Amino acid sequence: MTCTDVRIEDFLLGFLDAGEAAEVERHLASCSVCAAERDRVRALLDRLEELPMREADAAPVAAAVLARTRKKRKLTWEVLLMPTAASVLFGVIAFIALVPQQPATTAKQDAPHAKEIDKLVEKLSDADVAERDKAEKAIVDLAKDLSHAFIALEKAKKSGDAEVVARAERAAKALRDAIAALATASKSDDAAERMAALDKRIVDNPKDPTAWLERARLRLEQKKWQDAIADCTRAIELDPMLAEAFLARATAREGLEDLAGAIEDKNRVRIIEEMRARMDERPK
Amino acid sequence: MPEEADFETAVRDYAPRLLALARLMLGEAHEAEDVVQDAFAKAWARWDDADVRAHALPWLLTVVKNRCIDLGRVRTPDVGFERLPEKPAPPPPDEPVHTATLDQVIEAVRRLPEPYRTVLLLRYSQKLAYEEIAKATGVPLGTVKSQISRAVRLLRAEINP
Repeated sequence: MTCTDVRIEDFLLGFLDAGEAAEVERHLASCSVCAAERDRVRALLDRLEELPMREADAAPVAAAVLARTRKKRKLTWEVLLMPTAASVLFGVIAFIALVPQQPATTAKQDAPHAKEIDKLVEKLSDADVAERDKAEKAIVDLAKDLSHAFIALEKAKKSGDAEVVARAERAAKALRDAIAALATASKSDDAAERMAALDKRIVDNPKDPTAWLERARLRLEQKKWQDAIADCTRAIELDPMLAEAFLARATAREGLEDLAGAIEDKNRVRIIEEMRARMDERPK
Repeated sequence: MPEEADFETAVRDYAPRLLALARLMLGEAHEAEDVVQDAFAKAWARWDDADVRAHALPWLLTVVKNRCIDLGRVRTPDVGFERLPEKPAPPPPDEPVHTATLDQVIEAVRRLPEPYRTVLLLRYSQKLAYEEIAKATGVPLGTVKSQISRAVRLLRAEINP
């Protein structure tokens, strides 16, 4: 066994089998360099054991969590998980109408609002332009109602009545969650659209390295590491000086915990940048 | 309600551990407190689920570490990665063993890239068994061991190059 074969960390962590461990021990007995390294790694492991497991001052955090939980009764999560974000928003508006002292002028109490929304959306493609305008305006008005609901809920939260405050807080949270759900849905739609556009671009121009690179970047956002690597590799085949493709592939390899591969790609980026710098310096 | 009592016990028992993990990962006291509070809010929302109640600590640790990783990614993407060699060259044997302070070790752990930072903290701060780390991180046991081994090597290079 040579010094480069010795896996001191694995030896000290107990990850080697008996035969391997005995070999390392024999090497350590005859190699002062590795024995010194073993002492340093052991000192580090001892220090790691001192990392705090608990924080002594967590009581205020625990108290804040419990206060929050007691104040709110358990949320009706089913409401937040209703099939369409629109129906959630309308459910919230209906709920707001039940909060005392709130104007909530356009809210209705019992209507199945999702159906109304569906009708409005259908009317956006109505043959009659006046109907299309009307439907569009109605949807824009709904957005204004939501904004109004936020303000009304903030006022309600300042009410002295504990029940009103609790209801207003629950409603405000439902509103925030519904809007967050909308944002997520929109982001996912956006990613699907971008992917479709890039797929098409690659089909139309299969030798365009930047198209492959852009699709790789989108796949990185989606944490599809293997797919990202495949796209980067194709981009690199088409343009071996495309440093961005090496960089993107390094990120994907990090995602797959292929540290050596990631370092190799990053080194390649440096080499390309140095080559480019030298080329720029050359007299023209 | 017995479920509420369980939750209260979980908060009191686990808040110190979750806070320790979040602070080690983030360093920022306020941010760490927010992360812990949000983790408990998520747990409370799912407290009806017997599985969550039965494995509350690993569940909460996973939520906290995921959130800290996300926050860390936004704040300092790819920290110090390239400075960490595969295997550090050992110093001469006659050089005295320099023992890093606990603060130095914490700082260096915080600079480790993922997943090495997380596995090291789950092992050495939270004292989780390798099998528990595998469950919390969703990777096979063998991978956890190799990640810990690599993490120690990277840390060794970072602290005492």
